[in-house]
Amino acid sequence: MRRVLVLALGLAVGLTACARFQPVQRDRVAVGGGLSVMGSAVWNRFPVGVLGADAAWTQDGLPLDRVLFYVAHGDGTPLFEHGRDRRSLEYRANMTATEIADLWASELALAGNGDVRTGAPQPVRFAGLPGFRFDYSYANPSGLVFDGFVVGAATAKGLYLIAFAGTRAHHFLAYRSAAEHLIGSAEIAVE
Amino acid sequence: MRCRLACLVLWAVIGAGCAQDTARLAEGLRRTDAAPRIALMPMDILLSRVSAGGFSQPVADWMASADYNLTQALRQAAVERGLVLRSVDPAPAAAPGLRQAQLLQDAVQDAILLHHFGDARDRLPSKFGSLRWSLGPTARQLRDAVSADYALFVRLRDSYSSAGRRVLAVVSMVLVGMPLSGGQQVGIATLVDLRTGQVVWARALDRSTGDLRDPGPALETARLLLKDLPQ
Amino acid sequence: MRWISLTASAMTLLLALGGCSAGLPELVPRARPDIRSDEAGLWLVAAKSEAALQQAPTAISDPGLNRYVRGIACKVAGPYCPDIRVYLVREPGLDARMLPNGALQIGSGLLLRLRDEAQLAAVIGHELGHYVERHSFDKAWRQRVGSDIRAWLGVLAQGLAGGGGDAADALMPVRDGAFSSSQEIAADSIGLRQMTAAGYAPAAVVDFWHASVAELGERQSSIALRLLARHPAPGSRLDRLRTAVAAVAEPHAVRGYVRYQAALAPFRAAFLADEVRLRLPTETLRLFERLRRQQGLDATLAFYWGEVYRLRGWKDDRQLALKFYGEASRLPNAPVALDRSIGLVRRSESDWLAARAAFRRYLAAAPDAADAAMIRAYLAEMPEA
Repeated sequence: MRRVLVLALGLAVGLTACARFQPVQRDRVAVGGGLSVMGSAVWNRFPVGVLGADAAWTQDGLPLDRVLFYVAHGDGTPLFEHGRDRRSLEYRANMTATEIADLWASELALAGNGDVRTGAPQPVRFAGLPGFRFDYSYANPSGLVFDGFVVGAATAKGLYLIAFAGTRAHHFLAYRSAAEHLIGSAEIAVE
Repeated sequence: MRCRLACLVLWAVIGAGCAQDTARLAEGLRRTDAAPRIALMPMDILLSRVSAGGFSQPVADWMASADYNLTQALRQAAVERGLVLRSVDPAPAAAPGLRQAQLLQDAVQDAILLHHFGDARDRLPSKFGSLRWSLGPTARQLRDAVSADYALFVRLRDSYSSAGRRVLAVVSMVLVGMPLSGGQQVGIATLVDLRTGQVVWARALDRSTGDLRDPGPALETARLLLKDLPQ
Repeated sequence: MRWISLTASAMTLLLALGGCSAGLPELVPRARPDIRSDEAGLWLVAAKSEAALQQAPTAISDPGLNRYVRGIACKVAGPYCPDIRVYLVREPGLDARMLPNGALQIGSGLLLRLRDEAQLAAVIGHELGHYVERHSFDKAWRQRVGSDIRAWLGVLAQGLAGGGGDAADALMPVRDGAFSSSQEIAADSIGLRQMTAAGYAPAAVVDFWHASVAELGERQSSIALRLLARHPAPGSRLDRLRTAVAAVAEPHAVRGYVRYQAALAPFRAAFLADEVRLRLPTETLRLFERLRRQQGLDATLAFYWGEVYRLRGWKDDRQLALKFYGEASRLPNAPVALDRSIGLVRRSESDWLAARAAFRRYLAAAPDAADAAMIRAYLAEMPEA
C-alpha cells in the first residue's frame, strides 16, 4: 500500500517536473533578456521556443494560436533557428523595420508556409522605446490561414520582438486583445 | 536525467492505461433541447493495408464500404442512446466558403488529441483538464450549411496487416523474438455546439482491434465511439 | 554477418529495380481504375489532395492565366484532355507534379522560368507521360515490394546470425522517393510526342533543360534538390533528348514566345518577389541570368536583381545593388519601391544625404504609401549632416 502511495506521489512529481507546458501566473513574468510582461492564467508557456523564438505562449495549442518572444537578439544571428548557415537570414543591428518585416516574411516562407504577406511597418512605442509594428498573414502547409502582428524595438542589447498569430477563422480575433495586453504591458529592463 | 526516467515510467503507465481504455470521456454535454438536431458531418476515413515491410497502401473499396458501414452503425448507435443522427450531403459541407472552417476543425481535433488525450506532459495548464476548445464563428457558417444544432465530426485511420505481414510477424517472433505491429484503429470524434462553437464532447480511439469493413464490427466501433455521448 | 546484409541489399536492388519491373500497360483516355485495385487507393488519396489544391490559399485564381495554361494543356494532352486538370500554385522554385489521378500542379516558379509556350507544352507533355504510364502506381508498387524484401531479409538475417538490434531498421518502410531515371526517360519521350503532335517546336525541350541544368548548377540547394528529387539525372537525359529532338522534323513548329510572355507579364513581378524572398542569393542570381538571357533586362528584373544584392549585403553587394537600381530607374516602368530600396542601401552605408534624398523621392512619388509614416520616422532618426 505504502509502495503504491510512493509511486503515486512519484508520478505526481514527475507530472509537474516533466510537463512541457507551464502555467502563467497573473503577475509580472520575466520572459528573458530583461523583457517582462503581465501574465494571465489563460496562457500556457512552452519553454523551448518555436521557430527559434526564446519563448512561446499559447492558449489553445501552438498550431492554433501563439505568442512568440524574441529577446535581445544580437547582430549577426539568424532570427529563426534553421540549423543552417545562411548569412542572408541574419539579423543586423542597423536594420530598419522595413528590413525586419522582410526578414520575417522570408522566415515564414522558408518554414513551409504559403501566401505570406506582411503589412507596411508603422512607428509605435514598444516597452517605452521607439519601435515598430506590422501585420502579417500566411497559410500553413495544410492551407489553414493565420493572421498576426509583430511589435518590436531594436535596443542596445539587441532586437526585441513579440509576435502574435492565430487562425483567421477564429483564434486571431478571439485572442488578439489578450495578446495586445501582453504587448502593452511589456517592459525591458535597462541594466 | 531523473526527470527523464520519471517521465518514462509515467509514460509507460499512462501508455498502458491508454491501450486498455482506448478512450477517455471528456466533459458532459448538457442537453437542453428536447430533440437536438445532430448532423453527422462527412467523415474523414482512411483504410489501408500494411505490407510485410510496413508499407501502407490505401484501399479504395474498403474505404467505400467503411464509410457506408460506419455511417449506418453510428446512426444505430445514436438511436440506442436516444439520439437521431442526420447524415449530411458532402457537397454543401465541402463548399469553398467552408474550407477554412473544415481546416480549423481538423486543427482543433489535432490540438485535442495532443493536449487533451495525448501524453500527459502535453496538457495545457490553463485548461485544468477540461475540454475547452471552440470553432468560433465558423460554427455558425456550418450551422447554416447543414441546418443542425450540433455537428459530429469523425476522423478514423484503420489499418490491416496484409497476409505477408502476418506471416512475417510469426517468423519474426520465432526467429528474432521481436513482435511486429499489426493493424491499428485510431481516431477521434468530436461534437460541436453549432450555436456557440464550443466542442462539447470528444472521444479518442487508439487500439489494435476493430474492423470497419464489415457491418458487425463497424457497429462495435460506433458504439465504442459514442459510448459516453450524453443522452 | 556483413555478407548477409550485403547480399540482402544487392538482392533487394535487383528485385526492386530489375526483374520485377511491372511493365504496366498505358492508361487509355478516360480510364478509371477498378475500385478493388491498389491503384484506386492511390487515386482516392490523390483526389483528397486535389480537393485541397482546388481551395488552397496559394492557388492562382486568375481566370485568364488559368484559361491560357489549360488551353495549352488540352492541346498537348490530345485525347487525354478530359483526364488532365491543371492547378496553378504560387510556389517559387522549379517544380511541377502530376498526381496519379491526372491532377497537374504547376508552380509559379516554373511559369517564371519558361521562355515560351513550347517549353510549357514540353513540361505538360512530360507530366502527362507520368500519368499515362502510371508512374506513381509503378513507384508505389516498387517501394512496397522493396520494403517487403528488405523486411524479410532483415528478419532472416537477424534470426540466423543472432541478435535483433538492427531488425527494426530492416522493418522500417522505405521513404517516398523519386521517379526512376527510366520513368523520366519514358515521360520525356511521351512529352516530345505530344508537344510535336500539338504543333510545338520540340527544340524547346532541349533549351528548357539546358537552361535549367545551368541554373541549378553544381551547388545542391534545397530548391535544386526538390526538383532533382522528382526529376533525377537531367544531365544524362539532356543528351538523349537532343538526339530524339534532332530526329523529329518540324515544318510549322510554334514557339509562342510573345504570346507566353504577354500572358505571364501581369504576374512576373510577384513571382520574382517570391524567388527573392527565399534568400538563396547564389541560386536566385543564376535564375536572373537565365531570365536575362531569355527575355532581356527590364525594370522589374533589374529592381529585383538589386534586391538580391541588397538583402545579401556582402562586401560589394551594396554597390552592385545600386548599380542595378540605377539600371532599373533608366528603364521604363520602374517600380515605386525602387527609391525606398535605394534609401535603405544608402542608409546602411551611413550616406545620410543620399538616403534622405531617396526616401524623399519615394514619399513624393507615393505620398499615401502604407509605410509613409515609417519612412518619415527613418528620415527623422537620421543625423543631420
